[in-house]
Amino acid sequence: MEIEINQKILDANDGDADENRQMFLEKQVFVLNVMSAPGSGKTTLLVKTITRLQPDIRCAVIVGDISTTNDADRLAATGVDVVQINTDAFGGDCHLSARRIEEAVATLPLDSVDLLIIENIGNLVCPAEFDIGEDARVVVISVTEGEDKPLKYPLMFRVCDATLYNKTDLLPHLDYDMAQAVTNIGRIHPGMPVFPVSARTCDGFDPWVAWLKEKVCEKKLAMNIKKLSSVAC
Amino acid sequence: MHELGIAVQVVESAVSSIPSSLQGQPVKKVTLDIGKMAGITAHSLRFCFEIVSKGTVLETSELVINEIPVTAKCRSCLSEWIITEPIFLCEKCGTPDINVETGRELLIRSIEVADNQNI
Repeated sequence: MEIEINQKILDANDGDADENRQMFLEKQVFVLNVMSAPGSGKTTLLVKTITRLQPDIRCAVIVGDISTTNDADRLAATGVDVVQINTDAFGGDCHLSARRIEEAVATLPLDSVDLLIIENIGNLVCPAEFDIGEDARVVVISVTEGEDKPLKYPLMFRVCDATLYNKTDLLPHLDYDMAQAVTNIGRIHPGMPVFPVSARTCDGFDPWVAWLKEKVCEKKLAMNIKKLSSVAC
Repeated sequence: MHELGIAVQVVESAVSSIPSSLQGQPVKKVTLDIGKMAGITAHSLRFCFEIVSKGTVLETSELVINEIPVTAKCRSCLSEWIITEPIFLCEKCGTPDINVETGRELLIRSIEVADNQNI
């Protein structure tokens, strides 16, 4: 006997992600999902970004790693609240699921947070598949990785809203064809903003920080207009 | 890379979809739709399915995986085509204004349960 099911395999995760999204909306928190391969400089980049945003934009971080709390310690040094998620000491999940985020968020004072940054597990494949209830996704890639990296991981570059091109301070020492890499990104996700930055020197940070601030403010504004109009009615 | 988790979900969904009149009957076939851009490797999924279905009514079932191609439609010239390399520009007019129509599916389509001989 044939039984039709027609059910999404990730239905459970998508349901959890919708619940997260609703909670973030109620708390007026903008959520940024930051993804990259291991070693592209996510943590340093976030430390420097948070330093630029605080105290105008109040940040908190959830950081996912298979193991160790090193990244969380570095982020906590900025003075913001940090929650570490370890998936397993000897090689656990390859991504953060919506449920893991829900659990981690419970320990954060969301009422006094404007921007929640989620530093996903270093992996360019699986995190792209899992909705965690975020408002925007960015992928970090560095000039020490191949120019063809976007072509090798098209889904990641397809689902993200911006690319941060890190370690540009190393360009004078490398035979790296940055223009080719940016062209490759443009073929996969035409029109997506690409921000060349150096987390070490903070070169190129202004446009990136301005883009992020605008996104955070847009959500707050939209929520406040909605609140005001419901009061007016 | 997360095929094990996907296999667990497939087994759970399949088992919970079996009507009570057919409880305990072996499942003969499980059919999935997997998009080419879903980040899932078919042979890894088969390997994991074999492991997690052990000891369940799905143990001897055949896993059928329909690979769904990545297809796109241009919003400007309305042409439709199959994307075979990671270039998301219209094949005909070159515009980036395209819709990706299929290719991200991750769906359990149906199961086939052995008919209950005792009824």
